[in-house]
Amino acid sequence: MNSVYQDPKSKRAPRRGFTLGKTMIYLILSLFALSTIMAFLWIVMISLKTTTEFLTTSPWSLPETPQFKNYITAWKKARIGTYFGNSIIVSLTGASISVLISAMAAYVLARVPFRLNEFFRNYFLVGYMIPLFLTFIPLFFMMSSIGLSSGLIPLLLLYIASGVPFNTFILRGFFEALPSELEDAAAIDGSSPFHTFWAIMLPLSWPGLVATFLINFMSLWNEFFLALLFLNKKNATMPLGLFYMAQRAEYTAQWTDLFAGMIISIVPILIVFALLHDQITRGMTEGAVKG
Amino acid sequence: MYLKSRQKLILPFLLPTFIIYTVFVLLPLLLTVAYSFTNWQGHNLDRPFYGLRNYLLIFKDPQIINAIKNTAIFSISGALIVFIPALYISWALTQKIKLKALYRYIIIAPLMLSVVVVALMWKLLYNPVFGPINNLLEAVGLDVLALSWLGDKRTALIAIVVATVWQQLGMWILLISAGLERIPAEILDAARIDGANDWQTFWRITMPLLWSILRLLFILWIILSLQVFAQVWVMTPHGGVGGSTEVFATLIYKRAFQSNQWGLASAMATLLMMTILTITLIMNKVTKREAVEF
Repeated sequence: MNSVYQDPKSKRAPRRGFTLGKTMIYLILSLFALSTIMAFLWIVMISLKTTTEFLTTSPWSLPETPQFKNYITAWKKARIGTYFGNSIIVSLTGASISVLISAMAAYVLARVPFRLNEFFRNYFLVGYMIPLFLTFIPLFFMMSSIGLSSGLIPLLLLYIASGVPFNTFILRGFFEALPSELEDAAAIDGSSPFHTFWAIMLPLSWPGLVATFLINFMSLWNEFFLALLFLNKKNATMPLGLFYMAQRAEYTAQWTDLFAGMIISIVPILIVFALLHDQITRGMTEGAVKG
Repeated sequence: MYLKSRQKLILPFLLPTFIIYTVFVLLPLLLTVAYSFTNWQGHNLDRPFYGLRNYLLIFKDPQIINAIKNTAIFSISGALIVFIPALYISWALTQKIKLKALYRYIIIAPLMLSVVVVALMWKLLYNPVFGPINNLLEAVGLDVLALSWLGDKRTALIAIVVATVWQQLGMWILLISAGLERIPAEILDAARIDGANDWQTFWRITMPLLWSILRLLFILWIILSLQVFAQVWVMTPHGGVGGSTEVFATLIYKRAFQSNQWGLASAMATLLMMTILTITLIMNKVTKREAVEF
C-alpha cells in the first residue's frame, strides 16, 4: 500500500490457506448468522417450555419435557388457527386477483397502441410513488359508508387495489419483451384476441407472473396496518393476531403460547423462502431496480 | 391489421383494474388532500373549510415536532448503521468461501418475515426480565449495560432502529450483491494488473459502479423510514416513555382514531406524502452522476 508500484505478479498470485481477510470474512458472517440462529432457537426453546419453567429457568436452558401442547393451545384457544386461515385466504385471493387483472391491463398497455395508452401508463404509476396507507382516513370512511367497516371483504378489496401500480408496471415489461410475431401468427391461424392472450401470451410470461405473484403474496401475508384498521381480535390475520396475543400476554403471562404462535408464523415462510429462494430474490431485485 | 381486432380488448381488459384502482387508490389520495383543508373533528361528518390552517398548526404542535424529530433520527441513524455492514457482507458473499448459500439464506431470511413478527421477536429479546440480551450481558459481567432497552428514553428509539435494520439488511445485501455480480471480472483484473491494491480497486472501481444501486437503496430506506409504523406500534404501544419513540406515522394514526382530529391528521398525511415524493425526486436528480454503462 505504501509503495507506488507493486509487482503485479505478487498481487495476482493465488492466495493459499487462511489469510487475515478470509478469517475476518468468516468471523463476521458467522457472527451475523449465529446471532440470528440463536434468536430463532431461543423462540423455539421457549415455545416448548411450561410457563413456570420459562419464568424461572435460564433463557438458554433446554425444556425439561417438550410441551408440544403449547402449539395446540396456540392453534385452538389462542385462535392462531383462525388467523392462519384468514391470512391464507386474503393473501392467496388478493395476490391472485390483483396479478390477474393487472396482467390484463398490462397486456393492453404493452401490446395495443391506442390514443390514451400513454395516459393510462402514467395514471397507474401515480399510486406507485406514494405510500398508500397514508390515505387511510378516506378509506375507512368510504368503507364504513358502504357497510364494510370491518371484515375480510374490505381488506381484500384494498389488497387487490394496492398491488395494481406495481403489478401493471412490472408485467408491462414482461409483455413488452415478447416478440410480436406470435400474436400475428395466432391471428392468422384464426385465434381470437382473447384466446391469444389466454392461451399464448399468459403462459409465455409465466415466470414473470409467478415472481409477481410471490411478491404480492409475501407482502399481503405480512401486512399489518390495513388489517389493524379493518379486523379485530376475534377475526384477525397472522401479524395482527400475534400483535393482540402479545398484548394479552403482558397481563395473562401466557408467553409460551405466543412463542408457539410466532414459530407457526415463521416456519412456513422460511420453508417457502428456502424452496423458492431464486424466484423470490430475483423478483425483489428486479422489482426494486425497475421501480 | 391484426391490431384492429386486438383493440377490442382495450375496454374489457382495462376496466376492472381502472375501477378498483381509481376507487381505492386514487380517490382516497385526492380526498386526503381535500380533507387536509378542512377543520373536520369529532364524531360527525361536518367538514368546514379551514384553508391552510392545519398546516400551520402542524408546526406549532410540540408533539408533532417531537415526532418529526424522532422520525428524522430514525431515518438518519438507520442509514448510518446499515451502510457499512451491508457493504461488507455483500462483498464477503462474493468471495470464494464455504457455505456461501447458507450464510446468504440466513442473513436474508429476516427480510421475508412480517415486520410484526420481527418487532415482537426483538421486543422479547430486549425484555429486561426474561430477555436473553440482558441475560447475556449479565453473564459476561456487563450488568451496567443491562438496560430496560425499550423502557428507557435514551435507548428506546435506537433499539427499534436496530431491529428494523436487522431485517432490512437483507434488502441491502440482495441489491448490492446483484450490483457486485454485474461488475465484469476483467475490469477488476485489469486494475490489479495495473498495480491497484484491493482498497484502491474498491474505491475507484467498485464504488462508482455501485453508485446507482446505493442511491436506490438510500431512497428506499428514506421512503420506508419516514413512514415507519408497525415496528413502533408493536414494540412501544404508547409512543414510549414521554413520547420518546413517537414517530410521524404513529402520531397521524393517534390524531385520527384517538383524538378524532381528522382534518389535522389528513394534513399530516398529505405533508408526509409530499415529503416522500419530494425527497425521492430530489435524490434522483441530485445524486445522478453520469451513468456508467457496463
